[in-house]
Amino acid sequence: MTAEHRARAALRAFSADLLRYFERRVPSQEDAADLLSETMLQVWRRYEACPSEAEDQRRWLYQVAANVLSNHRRASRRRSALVTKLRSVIQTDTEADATESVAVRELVESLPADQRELIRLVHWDGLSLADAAAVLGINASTARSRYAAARGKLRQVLYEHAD
Amino acid sequence: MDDRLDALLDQSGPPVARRTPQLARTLVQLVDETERARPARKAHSMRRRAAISLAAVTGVLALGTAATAGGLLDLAPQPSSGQWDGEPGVKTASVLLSNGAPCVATYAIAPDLARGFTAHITARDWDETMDAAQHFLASLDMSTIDADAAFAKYETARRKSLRSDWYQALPPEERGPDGSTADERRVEAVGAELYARVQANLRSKGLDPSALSMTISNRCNFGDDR
Repeated sequence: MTAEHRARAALRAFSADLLRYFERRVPSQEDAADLLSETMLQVWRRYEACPSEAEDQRRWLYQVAANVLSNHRRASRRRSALVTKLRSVIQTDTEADATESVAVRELVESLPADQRELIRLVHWDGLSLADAAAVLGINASTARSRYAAARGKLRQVLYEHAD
Repeated sequence: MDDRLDALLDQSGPPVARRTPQLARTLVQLVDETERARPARKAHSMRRRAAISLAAVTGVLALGTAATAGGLLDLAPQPSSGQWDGEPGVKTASVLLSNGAPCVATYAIAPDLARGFTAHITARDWDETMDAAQHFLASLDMSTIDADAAFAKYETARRKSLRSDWYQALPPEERGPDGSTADERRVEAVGAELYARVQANLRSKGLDPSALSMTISNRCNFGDDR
């Protein structure tokens, strides 16, 4: 399989996950569509670097996506007709949001930034803790301690709430 | 509690668009569209070699970027016409080809977001580096680039790259045919000189130039002068 085939297969396999990643991190779903498009363009610029294993591909794509997101306010995005279509598709049909989910999300959002993003990557995006650490550019032991601290805070608040 | 906590956290993500067949089709189309939108490449191996050659050239040029101005240069800022014109970090120039026709090329710097995650480059680094590069390019007079001198350096470095151990170690299928024309390389050479100047300027400010990349785009007819 050539690098182009690998990149195409990886993007097709994980584009919905990447879209979800952006949908959950930018205020508008339309922006998520733009950022997904930008991520794909970035991947095509460096498709030779696409790993061959699916799990590595997923981590690599999230790393690119994280970089695109961090560069969000600078990125000069050109919106194609297809991106406009994607913006309208995801805008008109959104999942329901449970009350309990909103409350827990507010707790997650109240965490310090370095803990918050770890929780998001693991629980919202389904990444392993090791992959989340790679996306954030921190080592695994740091990720473990931050993750444990975040869970400890959440557990404490939820227990208190339950009591 | 931990299982319950996991379940609560798993379900706490903000709602996203329903994953419908229409959305799936649109995503596949977007993958295909972005693939078509990438910079044209003649062959992987040629491109790989060109990229490494470009790196070699920029390395050489970075050592002495006080390029001589004038000479046989036919390079001047162009009136806005391209899709990127007016954006910071973009320079447009006219490069005279071997048949006497001008080739209008656009050189754009951008954060190298797909370089793979580099922990030592933070978002703030990227912002600062892009700001500095854009500021430098905004004040750069493209007519100070000597296209002939840039091309001569580029060709020297390219020949050196082709003789290098890394290239010779490539399997034949990785080397591929040399698809670039002298005129194409002439346009690339101007980009290499421009990129080298950006790199030197960033280094002088203590910034890491590897955070940025440069893309070259043009619609020129290079013919076949291999």
